[in-house]
Amino acid sequence: MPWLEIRNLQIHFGRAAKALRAVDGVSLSLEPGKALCLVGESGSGKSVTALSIARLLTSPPAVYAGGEILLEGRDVLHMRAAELRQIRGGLVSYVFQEPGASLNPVFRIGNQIKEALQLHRPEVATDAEVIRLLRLVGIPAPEARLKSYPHELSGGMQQRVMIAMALAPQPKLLVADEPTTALDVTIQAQIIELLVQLRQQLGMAILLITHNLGIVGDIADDVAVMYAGQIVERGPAQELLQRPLHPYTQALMNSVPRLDSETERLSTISGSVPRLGAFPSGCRFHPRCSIARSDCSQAAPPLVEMEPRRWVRCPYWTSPA
Amino acid sequence: MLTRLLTRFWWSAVTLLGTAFLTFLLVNAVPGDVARVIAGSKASAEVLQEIHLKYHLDDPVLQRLGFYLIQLAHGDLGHSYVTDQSVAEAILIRFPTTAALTSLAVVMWVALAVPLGVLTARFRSSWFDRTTLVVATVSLSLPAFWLARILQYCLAYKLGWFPVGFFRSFVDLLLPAATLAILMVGYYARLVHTNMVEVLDSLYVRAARAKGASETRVLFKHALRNALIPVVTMLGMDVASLLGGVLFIENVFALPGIGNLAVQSVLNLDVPMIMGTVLFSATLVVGANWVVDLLYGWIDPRIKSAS
Repeated sequence: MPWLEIRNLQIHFGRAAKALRAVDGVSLSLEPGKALCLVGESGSGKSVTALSIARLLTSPPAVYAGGEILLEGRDVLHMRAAELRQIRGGLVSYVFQEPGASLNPVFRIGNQIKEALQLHRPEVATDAEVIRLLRLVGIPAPEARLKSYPHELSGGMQQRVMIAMALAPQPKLLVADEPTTALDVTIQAQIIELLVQLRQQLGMAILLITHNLGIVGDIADDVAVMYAGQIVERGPAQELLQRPLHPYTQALMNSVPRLDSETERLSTISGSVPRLGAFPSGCRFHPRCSIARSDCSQAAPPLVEMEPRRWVRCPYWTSPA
Repeated sequence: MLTRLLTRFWWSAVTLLGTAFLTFLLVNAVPGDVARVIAGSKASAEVLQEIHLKYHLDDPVLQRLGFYLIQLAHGDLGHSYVTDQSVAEAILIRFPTTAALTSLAVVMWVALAVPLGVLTARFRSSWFDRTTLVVATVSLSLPAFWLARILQYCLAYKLGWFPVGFFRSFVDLLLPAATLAILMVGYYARLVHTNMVEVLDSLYVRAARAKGASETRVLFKHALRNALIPVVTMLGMDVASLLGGVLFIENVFALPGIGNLAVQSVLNLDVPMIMGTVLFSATLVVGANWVVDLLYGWIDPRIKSAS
C-alpha cells in the first residue's frame, strides 16, 4: 500500500441538493520521498484536495462527502481530533500561498517556529534549533531574525520562515500550496530551488500545488492535472511534460511562455474554467476543447490507463505531433 | 516621535479647553438664579444681591469664563457655591467609590464577554450562538435606571442577598457592579464575537491549525490576541467615561461617587462643581486615548513600527 493514498475523494461545499462538488472522485497516491505536482487553473479543486489531506477545510461549509484519505494506512477522514493534531505538522506540513497572511502578525517569527517544535519535538524547542532551521532555509543572520515580526521581512523571507516552520517537526510530507504565486519572479525560482534542495537533503515527500506548468519539471516525479474537480491526466513528470495526451494538458502546455519559441503571441485556452456548481454535462472540458465531438457533451469519460502509467480522461486523446 | 507627542498634547489641550468653553456657556444658558438656589426661596433681596456680588454673577458670561480659565490655569478648580467645599477635594473624596465600582464591573463583564464572544464565534450559528445573541441584545437595550431598581428590589430588598445601598464595604459594591456588568456584557460579547469571526477566517489561523495546535490554543492564543485590538479601544473609552461617574447606578444604590456629585451639582446649579466634574471626566477620556494608543503598540507590533 502506498504511503499516502487518496481514493475517490468527494468534497462538497454546502449540503444536500445544493451542494457544490468542488472535488469529484479524485484518486492519488504518493510514496515516501517522492514529489507529486498537482496542476490546474484556479477553481479546479487542487487546493481543496491538498487541504483535505490534513482535514484543514473549514467544515461547514466543506463536507467530506465520500472516499478515503489513507495516511500510513489510517483514514484521515475518520480520525479523532487528538490524532489529527499529531498528523498536522508531525506527518504532513503545509506551506501556503500568501506567507504574509499565513504568519501571525502579532508574534515574533522565532516564537512561531518554536511553537511548531513545542507541539511535535518538545525536546529540541530551543533558540539553537530555531536558528538551525532558519539557516537551513537560507535566511541570512538568523540570530538577528529570531525577534523579528513577520511584517519586518520581505515576501521571500516570509516564505522561507513558513518553510522553516513547516520543516521544524520533521514531517514526512510537505504540502506546498502555490508557494510562489504571491512572490516576485526572481524570488519564485529561489523558493522552488530551495524546495528541491531541501527534499534532497531531508528526504521528505513533496506535494506541490501549482497552476504554473513551467515549474513542474524542476521538481516533480509525477504530475496530476486537474480540471473542474477531477483529474484529467496523470503520469510520470518527464513523459507527461514531453508528450501530454489530454487536450486540456496540451492546451496548458501551449500557454506556458517559452524563450525558444518563435511564435509572437502566447496561445491561451478559449473560454474560462466553469464555475463551481455549473459544470457542463458529459466531459467537463468539452466546451473549450479543440477536438470535441458531438458525443462529448453526452457521456462523462472515465480516467483510463491508456499507456503504461499514463492515465487520461478522454477517449479521443491524441499524441501531439 | 517627539513631534507626534507634541501634536497629541496640543490636541488634548484643545479638546479640554473646548469642553470647558461649551460647558460653561451651556450651564449659564440654563434659566434660574444661582443665588436663589444657594440662599433658598425665602431669602431677602439684600442677601441675593450680596451673593450676586460675591460670585460676580452679574458680569458678562465671557468675562466670567475668562476668570474661570485663568483660575484653572493656576490649577484651582474653585469652591462649591453651595457647600464652599473645594471642588478638587470633593472629586478626590468621591473618586475611589466610582473607581472601585467601575473596576469591579470591568472585571466582571470582560471575564464573561471574552469567553462568550470567542465561543460564539467558534460555534457560529449554533443554538448557543443564537441564544447568546438574543440575551446580548436584551442586555444592551436594558435601561440602566430600570435594571438597577429591579435588581435592588428583588435581590436586595425582597431576598436580602445583597445590601440595599450605601457604601460601607466591598460587599456593598457587588450588586451595583453586577448591574453595570449586565448592562455592558452584551455589547462586549458581540464585539469580541464579530472580531473573532473575522480573525477565524484568516490564513494565519488556518496555518496554526496546520501546525497541529489544539483548538483552545488556536482560539485563545492565535486568534484572540488579534481580535482584541478593536475591543481595547472601546474598553478604554468606556472605562474612562464610567470613571467620570456612573450616574444611574450610583444614584439608585446611593453610592457617594462622582456620578452622584455631578447630578447633585447640576440640580443645585453649582457652576464650579459642574465644571469640575465635567472637566475631570473629559480629562479621563483624553487620558484613556493615550493609554489605548500605548496598548495598541503592545498588542499589535505593526502599529508600533508604523508610528
